[in-house]
Amino acid sequence: MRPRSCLAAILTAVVGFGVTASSLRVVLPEPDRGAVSDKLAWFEVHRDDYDVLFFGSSRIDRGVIPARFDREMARRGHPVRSFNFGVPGMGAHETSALVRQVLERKPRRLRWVVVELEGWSAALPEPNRFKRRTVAWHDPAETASVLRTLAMTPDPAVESAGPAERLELAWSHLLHLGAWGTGAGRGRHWVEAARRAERRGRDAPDYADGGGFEPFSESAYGTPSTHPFRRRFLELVPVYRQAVARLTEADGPDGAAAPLERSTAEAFERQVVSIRRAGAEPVHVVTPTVRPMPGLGRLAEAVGGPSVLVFNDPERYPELFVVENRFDAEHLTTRGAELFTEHLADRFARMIEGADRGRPAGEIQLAQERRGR
Amino acid sequence: MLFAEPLFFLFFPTVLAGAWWLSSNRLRKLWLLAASYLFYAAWDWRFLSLIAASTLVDYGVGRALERSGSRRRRRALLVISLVVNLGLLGVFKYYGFFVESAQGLLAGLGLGVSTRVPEIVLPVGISFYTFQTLSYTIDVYRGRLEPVRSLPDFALFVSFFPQLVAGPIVRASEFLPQLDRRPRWSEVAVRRYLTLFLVGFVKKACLADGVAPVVDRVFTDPGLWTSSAVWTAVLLYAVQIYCDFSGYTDMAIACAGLLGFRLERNFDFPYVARSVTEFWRRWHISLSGWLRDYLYIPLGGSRGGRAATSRNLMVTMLLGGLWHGAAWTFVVWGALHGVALVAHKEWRARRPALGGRWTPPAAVGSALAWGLTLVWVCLTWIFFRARSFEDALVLARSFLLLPGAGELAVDPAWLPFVAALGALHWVSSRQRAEEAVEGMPDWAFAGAYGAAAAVALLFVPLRSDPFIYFQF
Repeated sequence: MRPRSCLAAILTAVVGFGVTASSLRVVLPEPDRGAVSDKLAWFEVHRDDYDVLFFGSSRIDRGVIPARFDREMARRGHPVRSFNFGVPGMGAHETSALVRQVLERKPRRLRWVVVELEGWSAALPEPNRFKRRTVAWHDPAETASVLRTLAMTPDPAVESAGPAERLELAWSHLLHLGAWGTGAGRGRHWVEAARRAERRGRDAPDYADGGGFEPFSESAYGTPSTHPFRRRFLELVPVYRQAVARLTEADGPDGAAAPLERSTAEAFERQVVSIRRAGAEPVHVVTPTVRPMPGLGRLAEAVGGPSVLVFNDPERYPELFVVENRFDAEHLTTRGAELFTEHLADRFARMIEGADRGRPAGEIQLAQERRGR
Repeated sequence: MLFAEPLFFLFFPTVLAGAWWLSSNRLRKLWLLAASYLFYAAWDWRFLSLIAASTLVDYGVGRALERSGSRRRRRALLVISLVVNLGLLGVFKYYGFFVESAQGLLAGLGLGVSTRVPEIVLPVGISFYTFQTLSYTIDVYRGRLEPVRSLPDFALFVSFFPQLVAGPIVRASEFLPQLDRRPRWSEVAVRRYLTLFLVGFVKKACLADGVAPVVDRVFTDPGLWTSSAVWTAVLLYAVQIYCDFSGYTDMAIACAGLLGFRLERNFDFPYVARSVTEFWRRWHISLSGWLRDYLYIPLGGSRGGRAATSRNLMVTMLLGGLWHGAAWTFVVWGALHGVALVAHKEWRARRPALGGRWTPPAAVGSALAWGLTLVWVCLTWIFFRARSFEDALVLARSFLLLPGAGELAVDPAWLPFVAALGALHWVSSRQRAEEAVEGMPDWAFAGAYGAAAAVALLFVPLRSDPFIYFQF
């Protein structure tokens, strides 16, 4: 085979590969991503029913009660209908990708997209690599975003990693992008889905009443609890109280005084722009967490009040941090979720009323730039 | 680095391009040697020293054998090679096994000695390259092979990356002459090797890795499963081990072929075999040939009467079993195959004396022979795969439908899947995929290849275990 015909054959093979992979991506169903797929499937049918969508981790999933939020908003003269898209284990990059996937469905009634705010991490824990959910958020836009995060940030999860580890991490993200682009594993899912179609139809969750809110099961509250997080929390209550105390230290190492990372600010800005481009208004929420949120206080300050609603403040919201209202160190009980939802609705209503309007996202100043002046 | 890993798809095209770009045969060989060492170092660079040591010893022994006229001295040189190579294999692969077995034996005799057995990492591919270097030295000793003069050539023979990790076991007499001249690209059956690579990839990445979770579940807790579940798992393991091993060697042969080297076929559709003897002519052919030429025949082969032949077969198969892994389950696996080989030899010897009274119609006889062979091979796979001898016995009881099986079932849809693969295996044994594409125009082959690769990727298993919640 001559070099020219060899090159032609390689190009033909690449075209054959690309055309087939793209066609199959369109034809074959999305791989099952558990709760993510369940909520997306529900939203597919009810996409024009909601004014407000909540996105984030289990702190949103277990902490925001849409029915209560809607009732509180109506009481304040702002009738809305909301849906909770929170899913356990969902990090900032996965959330960003999910927000875009939801907005691509062009929900007509949607006005506000509420996103849990946490650090954009480039880390990719080994046990979650090449799982369907991890592959699903590695679309080109989010992979580019995570690679920028990796290149720019001393991310706490990866900052100790040397160049070789960072290169390995970048390669791993690219492989996930490859798996996303080629639809790797989708054929197996398609076979499984075809075989279980009937059962899947019966098992599909109904979010009509709960609006996506998923409280912990009753057995999780039992004595002893069936939930490992709860058991651990009850054993380590003093440690939790210390973490709460640290939150009130204004200049603590993880507090608001920590510098805002450029990568976090940029990822945040991209998210804000993409939501606005879809015709909705972004609202970010720092949930009543005791986890370190390095620099996010700065982000709130940079953006201005109403766009970022901060609740990890035990002085302002002590009832959200008392042990009785905590399921564990990171999650609220159902009673705690009711209180949090009421506070959220209150802040949300005041934001709509313009009592506390901040600057638009286009004017976000990066911490480094501000420090440079 | 493994052939089905994404990194290999960067590594191999780079090596391939370099190998064909270099016009000097000497530079090409050095390039391939460097690539082979890099390939091995990607797993663990420290064990390169073992390959290097094995290479230097056997190269030196080969050269010394060439210069030596004394029979005694030649024998001593051979012993040096055997001691070094088998010593390395013994230490790294069998040390723990022998110590634990000795401890067990002493404890049984009431002489309990407790010694902590150090955990020794098994260097990847050591069983393969040890057998390759041994075959070289033995062939030179026997005067069947001229010793190689070039150390880099010999080092490339030992470490050639396509077959370094999982075979096929290449004979020096087949490989070294291919280093004498640089082949032409036009001589390479590109289409054939590309197709073989894709077939191997599908076997390894889609089929073997795809069925592995079901097999693992049953073999992890053997007592929990019904007999039908055990049957399904054992059949799936037969699929898994064949697809894993033969898929990997298909890719190895394809990579070597694209680099201009011809490696012999290592599997020839073993599950169509109608006797265990035929099975071993089709399964891991390079190992069977090695054991025959360097163990069975030196032991006396079939020259000393029935009893001696049976003994030689049993010894060969027991050691062949032990070669596969340092555990008694592998020894039992080898023993079961040895028994079947002896029984088949006896059957063939005595059958004429039965006067044809026992001869069924040809088709029925064939089907019966095939079925019996398959069941026996599957039964032996239980010992090959089980984590312990006790687990193997539990599984074997369920497999043989003896009472005491558990209650958990495996999805029955796996059985038609296995049946479909069996049919494909049979059809492929008559028309190989790499031969079927010969007549296609270049553009059609290239387009279809790209499309087939895209479809194959669809069936590469992503991890399906639950997403780990990393909050705490």
